[in-house]
Parts: sequence; C-alpha cells; structure tokens
Amino acid sequence: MDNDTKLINLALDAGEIMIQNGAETFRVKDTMRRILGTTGRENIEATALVTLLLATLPREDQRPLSMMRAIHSRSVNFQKVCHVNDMSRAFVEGRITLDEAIYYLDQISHEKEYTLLTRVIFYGLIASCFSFLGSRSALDGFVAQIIGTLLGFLVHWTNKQKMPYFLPIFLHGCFVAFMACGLHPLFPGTHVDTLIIGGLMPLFPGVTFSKAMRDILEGSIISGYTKLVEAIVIAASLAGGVGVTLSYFI
Amino acid sequence: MTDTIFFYIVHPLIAMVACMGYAIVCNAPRKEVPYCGMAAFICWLTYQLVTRNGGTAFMGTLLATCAATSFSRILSFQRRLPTIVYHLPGILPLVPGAAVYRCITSAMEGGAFDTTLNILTAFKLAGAIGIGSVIILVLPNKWFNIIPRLQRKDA
Repeated sequence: MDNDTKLINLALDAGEIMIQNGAETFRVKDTMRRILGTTGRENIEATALVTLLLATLPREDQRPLSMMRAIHSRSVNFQKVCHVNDMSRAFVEGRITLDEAIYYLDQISHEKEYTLLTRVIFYGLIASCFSFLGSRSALDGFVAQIIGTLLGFLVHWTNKQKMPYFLPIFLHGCFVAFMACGLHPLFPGTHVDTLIIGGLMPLFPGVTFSKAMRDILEGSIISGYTKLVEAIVIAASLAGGVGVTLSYFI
Repeated sequence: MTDTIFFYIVHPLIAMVACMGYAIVCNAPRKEVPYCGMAAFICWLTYQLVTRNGGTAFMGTLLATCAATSFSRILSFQRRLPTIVYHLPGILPLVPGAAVYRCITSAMEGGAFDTTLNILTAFKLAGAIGIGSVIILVLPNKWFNIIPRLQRKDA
C-alpha cells in the first residue's frame, strides 16, 4: 500500500473512531483535514456526516484519491476520542511517523472500557444522587440506586442486541417506571416521581442535544439537524416507555 | 445557616458525585473524571445561587450552563483535550428531567393545557442549555487561554 492510501486510511480510521465514540462532527472533520494536511497539498477535502465520512487527497502524477466510510454504530466513549485527539496532534506535529500513527490507532480501537460492574454501579450512583437532589430523601436515593444498577445491566444487554433504534430506549423508559412503581409499595416513604426522574437522568439525550446545537452553530447543518431529530426521538421514546408503564399502574 | 450549607455545598457536591459517575459511564479517561465533577459542581452552585436569589429557572439554567462551559473550555486548554469531555458531564444536572416527567403525567391525565405548558417549559430549559453552551463555545480560544498552560504529565 502506498503512503497516500495509508494516509487517507489513517484519516478515515481516526474519523471513524471519533464519530463512533461521540465526538462532534466539526472536530472529526478538523482532525481528518489536519491529518491529510501533513502532505502540504492544496484542495484537500474531508467531510463528516453522522453516518458517513468522505476524504479526498489530490496527488501529483495521478488522479485524486477519494474514499468513503460508512458509520454503522454510535456510542459514547470519551477515552477513545481523547486518545485519537492526542494521536492526531502528535502525528501533525511530526512527533510520530505514519506507521506509528497507524499502530497507535489500532491500539486505541481495541482499548478496554471500564468493567461492566463499575459501569452499572455508577449508573446506580447517578440515579441515586439525582433522586436525592429531587426529594432530599435518603430512602429515595437508596431505592434509586437499586433501580439505576439494574438499569445499567439492562442498558448493557440491550446494547448487545440488534433492535430497531427506538426500541431499547423505549424499554429503558418502561423498566425505570415499572421498577419505581413496583418498589414504591415495598418502601412506602419513597416518591415515584423522583425515582423515575433519577433513573432516567443518565438516559436523557443531553449529549445528543448539546452536540446538535454545537454542530448547527459551527455550520454542519445536516449533522446538527439530524442529531436534533435524534434527540427528540430519544426523548419521545423514553417518555413513551414511561407513559405506557405508568398508565398501567395509575 | 443549615439550608445555606445544604443548598450551596451539599447539593453541588451531590451533583459533582453524580456527574463523576456519568463521566465513568461515558468512559472518560480516569484522570479527567474529577475535573468533570468540578465542572458539575460549578454548574449546580451557579444554578442554586441564581434560583435561590430570585432568578428564574431559565436564567439559572442559562447562567449555570455558561459557567460550566467556560470552566470546561479553560480545562480543555489546560489538559489539551476536547471540551466535550468536561462539558457534557458538567451540564448533566441541568437536563430538564422533572419537566419531561411532568409532560408525561399531565399527558396521561388528559390536561391539554398543562401538557402544552410542560412541553414548553422542557423546551425552554433545553433551549437555555443550548444557548448558554453556544454563547461560550463560539468565543475565541484566546479568551480562555489567560492562565498559562500547566504541564500535563501524560501528554
């Protein structure tokens, strides 16, 4: 593989890891441009949409090299975003070679996440803290910890299943409301509303909404608009799940 | 006095712990997790200061978002990492969860007026987060580079 092909693949791989793990579209575009810009050539192009990456690298003796990459999955992993950011910075500044950059990127794509147990415990902690903030009741915090921890396991399980986009979110909403209504009679001092709000806090589309606003104002209108719709779909799915379950219990 | 300590110290500390948890759920690098918590502390402290001194929830959300985003941008420069790592956990306490929940319950009870009002409240608060973030995010980088960069050991 010649150096130009390696370079454009590096840019696309970096962009793919970033966009799959929650980076803003403008940052992905910027990183790809910077990596391609190390050639010093003019008319370099790099575009990132929510589900697609495109890069073009002009060549001196041949036709321009242009490649496209489809993005099939999206989640949030700040560690990978940060490491790709560090890698691209080091490559652009000339501290690492092209082959080293490719090697580092491969390492980054296989990085381990926090263990499942850590993640579910912290899901519980988020629910617990926000329930306590809502009602000032330690009992609410305790029950929300149980709901949040179980929700963490459910989120992990649904992430591994192939389901239509809205269905896991709908199920999460159903589960939180079901658990809150189910545990309320066992712990009479609890408040169903704060349990549900606390449980839903880690699931609300704050990340998506914030990125949508940023993308729109950075000029990535298509990506911003798509993410805005995505945020509305997530919020509506969650609300639908909670609503359906509550209508059974109330 | 007890209320002052509770609302201005205990509340922000709880928000800080929650957001550190959120940073871990989002797989933030281990060393950045306390900074994410600090952003949330500043955010919730600002919100409490505004809303408990006569400010509206909209104004509280707007100013708290501005505070958290500014802090995130300073951290982003200091730590040489994307702003999003500190910004998203930082603004989590402001997500209008209660407003969305009230939308659901009022829709179930069939009150069209209440439902519309709650939907508008949720959009207003979400809009405040968006506006507050964007106002700070579009400012030039040099405004947040006033404090000289400290050496990051793992850079």
